[in-house]
Amino acid sequence: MRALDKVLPAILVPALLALAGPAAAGPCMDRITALEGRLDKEAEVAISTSSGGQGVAGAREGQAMEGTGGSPAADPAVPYQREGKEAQAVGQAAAAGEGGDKVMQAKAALNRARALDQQGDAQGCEQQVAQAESHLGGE
Amino acid sequence: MRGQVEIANVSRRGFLAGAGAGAFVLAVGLPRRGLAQEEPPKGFGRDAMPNGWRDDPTLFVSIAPDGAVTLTCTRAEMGQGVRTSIAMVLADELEADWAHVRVAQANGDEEKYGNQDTDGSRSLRHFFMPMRRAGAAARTMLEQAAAKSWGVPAGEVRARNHLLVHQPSGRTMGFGQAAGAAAALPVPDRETVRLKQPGEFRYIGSDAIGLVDNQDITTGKAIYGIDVRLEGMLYAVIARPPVFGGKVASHDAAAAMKVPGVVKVVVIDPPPIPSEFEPLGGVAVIARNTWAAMQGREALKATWDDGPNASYDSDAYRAQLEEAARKPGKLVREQGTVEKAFPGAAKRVEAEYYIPHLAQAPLEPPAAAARITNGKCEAWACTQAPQVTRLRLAKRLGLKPEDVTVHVTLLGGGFGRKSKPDYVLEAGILSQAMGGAPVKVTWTRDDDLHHGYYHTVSVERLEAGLDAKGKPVAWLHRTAAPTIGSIFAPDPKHELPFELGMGLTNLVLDVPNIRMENPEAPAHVRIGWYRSVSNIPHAFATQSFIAELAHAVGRDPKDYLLEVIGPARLVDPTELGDVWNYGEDPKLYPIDAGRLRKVVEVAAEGIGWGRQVPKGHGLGIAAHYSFVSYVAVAAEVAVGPDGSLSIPRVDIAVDCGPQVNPDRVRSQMEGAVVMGAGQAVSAAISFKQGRAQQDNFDTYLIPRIDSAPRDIRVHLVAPPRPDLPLGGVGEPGLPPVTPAIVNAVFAATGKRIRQLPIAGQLAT
Repeated sequence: MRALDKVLPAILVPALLALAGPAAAGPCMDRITALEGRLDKEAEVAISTSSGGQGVAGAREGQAMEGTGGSPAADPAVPYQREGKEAQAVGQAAAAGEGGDKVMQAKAALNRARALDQQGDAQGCEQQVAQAESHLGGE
Repeated sequence: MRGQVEIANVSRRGFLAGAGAGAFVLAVGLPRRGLAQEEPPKGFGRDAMPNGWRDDPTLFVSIAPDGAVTLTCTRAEMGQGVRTSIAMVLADELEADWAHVRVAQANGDEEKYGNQDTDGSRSLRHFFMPMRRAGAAARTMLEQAAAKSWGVPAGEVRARNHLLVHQPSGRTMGFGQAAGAAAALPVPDRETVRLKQPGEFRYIGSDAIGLVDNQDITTGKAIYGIDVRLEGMLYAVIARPPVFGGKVASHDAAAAMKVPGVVKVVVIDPPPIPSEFEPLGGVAVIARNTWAAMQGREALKATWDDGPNASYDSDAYRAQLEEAARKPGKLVREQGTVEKAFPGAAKRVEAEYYIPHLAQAPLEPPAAAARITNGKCEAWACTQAPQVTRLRLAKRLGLKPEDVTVHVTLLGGGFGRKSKPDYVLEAGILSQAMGGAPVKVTWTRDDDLHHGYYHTVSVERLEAGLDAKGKPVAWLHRTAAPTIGSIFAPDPKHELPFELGMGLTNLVLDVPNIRMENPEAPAHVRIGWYRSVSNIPHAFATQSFIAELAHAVGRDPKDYLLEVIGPARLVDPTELGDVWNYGEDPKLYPIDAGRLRKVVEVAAEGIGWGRQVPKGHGLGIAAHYSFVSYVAVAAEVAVGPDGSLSIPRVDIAVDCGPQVNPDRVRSQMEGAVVMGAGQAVSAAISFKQGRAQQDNFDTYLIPRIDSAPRDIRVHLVAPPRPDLPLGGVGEPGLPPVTPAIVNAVFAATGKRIRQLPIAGQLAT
């Protein structure tokens, strides 16, 4: 009976957890939380490397998104400032998740992961977190 | 005016000549290199713009010995009143008497002045504080100079309305008297400069300041780009490839050269693709007057290789966009899981909206003059982007930027068209072809409509699942539109984050499950930014759809709109998935649903929402957040038995934060209502065989005096706190106008308009 006493709680715990619904803090949510902090920072970087001007935003984001694998185009098409400085700005935008494009997609995936986690779909959550990480290039 | 164009040029030579030999002026002497000359830190808003900002008073304030104050405006004036508003800020902190103030326009030189690119509704938003500091620093230097001359502590001297006053004794000195000594003083550290308290403002926030250019504009003295005349100037018009991406196949200039006054025909090479701001190429006819040039172009025989976009057809492309929007696309925003929410919805509603290409059509078409003398180029242009113009001109002509001067004239409208300096490059190229002789290139209205940087074309597909109470529980939005990125990068198929951040990824909805996608859409024409940019299709679709949902569940549209916006709350745009936020710090500029709700309430109250309207009349409402401001529009339309449409009244409520120049805010909202009415009712650019089908204002129909909304009432809504940062004004008025009108049409007729413009859709 003593052994069963020990076994039963071990059996019951997962069952009780399943009955209680999705985990308030499970492995997937931990990954979401960790990635979220990074995403928040990257979103701010993406904002600051674009600009409030439509022309500059269009040029920087357009160049940043078209770079292969996140590398900026060698010569920015539009010199909004001296070419060296604007190339640097485009490079920064490219590094910021290809003008923010990858950050935006990662955020969507992460939000979806959170929703799936709350629905108890651990596998779906993990897949979406992996998707978010792949948009950001992983760590 | 012949021989030398004076555009109140702020060059030292021009200014000192005007002030008189030996004049002491604040701007003379050693450059004030203080803190204002340092590279601004990277960050948000103005800090992130190319070349940042300056607050060095010696760049913006000049005072002559007679006390005349010249304030320099570095932003392009296109009717929004920025020359007046910027001067109000400088003059207020300076404590200048407005009667002694004149405004000069700066040349394009961002390394000197900071960012001059006038777009994005950010002139006051970005430069309000730097201009306050510049004015206050100049005031401080005057006070210090007066104190020094009196031998009293500087703290005992105060500037008051163009006088320096020693407060204990009452002694006074005019600004002109102190200017010379002030110019010799160091620019004070910006941290030590005292700014006025809002209660002390004399001009900021005042409705009593008229436009500085009013007199010149109304008496014909104002100089726009199209007005520029130079000694010996030649005039050019250009036959451009009728299809974007095309080029000259052959041309015969013989007949053109026979036209009296025509002096030369020059071929301009087509640009590589992406073309960004390069001229389209074509055949230029240069003559001694514009009419001769136009007649020469008529006589020109040219054939064209139409290139890869020869078959671009608006109807076929619309079908392509619709097909794309009916399939999953690139995921750009998600909250919850819509695919799980839809099956459980009590009701499902779906709709597709079509928004055609638009042309900015500023009343002054693009025009520029250029000449090259001793290896240096001078250009006169109605440009929104002087620095780009300067750098691009230098590169195209093989000159150093230091050898290119761009004089910025007044702009007869811009709306984004004049941010792209292709027409200025044309003038430079043709001047070079004429051995440096001054050449003015004029675009006709047909040229402007045929060869624009068009507002994108869009299909917006929305689907919503509603619960038993009629509340949306699932929201799917697909936006398919060619991107502005296509002029900067080769063949992009998706919109850029900043386009999606205009009313899509930053849309505040009280809906638990949201999914937004951006299917592919290649570009076949030059796509450019047009006043309020992608906010137009996004606002039209979402605000129309919300009204459709209200109707589907038998709810009042205004109440339903408020329910979908949700309760008053602050929303971090990055939490929604927005990675642009108009370039602003999301901590400083969260999205405030309470402010959006407030403008809805004010617009509704203004128009008398819920009142009985005559037969054939209807009320519609819409609201939109853009350029970090909040705007709602309530419209009343009247539809006759024959389907004729008139707009008796529009109420527009705006919360743009603190208002520097309320008269200008009103004016911008009124203009936005008229422009939006045109988008709703009649304006569209369409293409067949790659060619724009509209030639002039007989086919590109913008509102006339008899079709514009009759009664426009602007409600300026104070922000909830006076210390909130400034929002934009130039563009935010536009996006909610069209859906408000279309929603009013539905209320009047029961007919739902899902494609713009309304045009003949109401005819019975």
